[in-house]
Amino acid sequence: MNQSLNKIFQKKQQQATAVPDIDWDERRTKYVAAVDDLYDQIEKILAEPLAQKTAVMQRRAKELSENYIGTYKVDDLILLVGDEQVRFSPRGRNIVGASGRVDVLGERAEEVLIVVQPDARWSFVQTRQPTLKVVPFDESSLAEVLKRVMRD
Amino acid sequence: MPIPRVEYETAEQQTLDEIRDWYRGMLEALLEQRRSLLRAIRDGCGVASRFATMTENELDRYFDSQKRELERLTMLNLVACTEARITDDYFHRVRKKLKDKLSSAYRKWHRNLSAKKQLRPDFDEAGILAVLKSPNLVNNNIVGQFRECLQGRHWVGHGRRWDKPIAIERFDPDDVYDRCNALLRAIPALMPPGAETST
Repeated sequence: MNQSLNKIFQKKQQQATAVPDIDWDERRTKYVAAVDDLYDQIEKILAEPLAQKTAVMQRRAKELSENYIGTYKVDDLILLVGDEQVRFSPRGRNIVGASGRVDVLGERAEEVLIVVQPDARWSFVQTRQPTLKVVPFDESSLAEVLKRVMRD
Repeated sequence: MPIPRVEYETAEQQTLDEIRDWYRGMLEALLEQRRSLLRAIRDGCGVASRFATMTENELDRYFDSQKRELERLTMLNLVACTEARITDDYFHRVRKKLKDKLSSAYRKWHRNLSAKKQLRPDFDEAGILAVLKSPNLVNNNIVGQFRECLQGRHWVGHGRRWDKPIAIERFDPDDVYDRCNALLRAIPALMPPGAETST
């Protein structure tokens, strides 16, 4: 190999060893687990309408590809209510200022859920500017968001 | 013969090199900002809230659009700077009644303009560039290459309110710099920037 290329690669390796290693597989696993946990929470909150069949939940597998993490499988969660659907769609682990993101896509609007490690709590993003404001995910914030993203 | 005033005390004319240097500095800053955001994703650091929740793809799209905007504004600035240099040089030659071939062609053309046009002569079609293209004045190919940059300059400079010219996607600031620079260098004895106001 060309000597100058050799030097570049050696220098890059030295620089990389100075930075602590990141376990990208662990990050992916934690993100996928956090998404599963979110879906479980949604299912619990919506237990009554699901039992009464006024709402139906389906999971649909999809693939995400991200730098360093690679390609992996994760589910979209589809909530069918009447003739409308709301899709909870994971957008990825590598997110600025968070440890993962799931978008809530309705027929009228879209909202964003982010998770922050280490406690893996999900929150809805209220505003990004001038400051980032979030509200914790719970039954009442989910109800508010569903009202906003679904048709009147 | 009406000729506009020249003593613009607060004019801030730039050179092509100054504009290119500004562009390169801004581009470096943009790339550094992108690098620091990718580092923030990797290391989990805090960032300005305008970027919070963005995915890497969204960051890519954001920075692509910022770079495109920076390029368009730079190209507008380069072409506008060239127009200003050529127009100033034109008035200088007419005012000073210089005798060289280009000055004579300018003066002859200027004499036949209406009083209003003598104060604000056209630049492109049937304007100063058309005079420059007269035989044996300036290489027509160089003028033609510069004129190709004008469509994009007009589109950006007039609020992008009509269909985007295809040409704007073909050029980058380095192309436009080269074309503008080639034209300025091709004009014989071009007046240095700001020389008219200091006389």
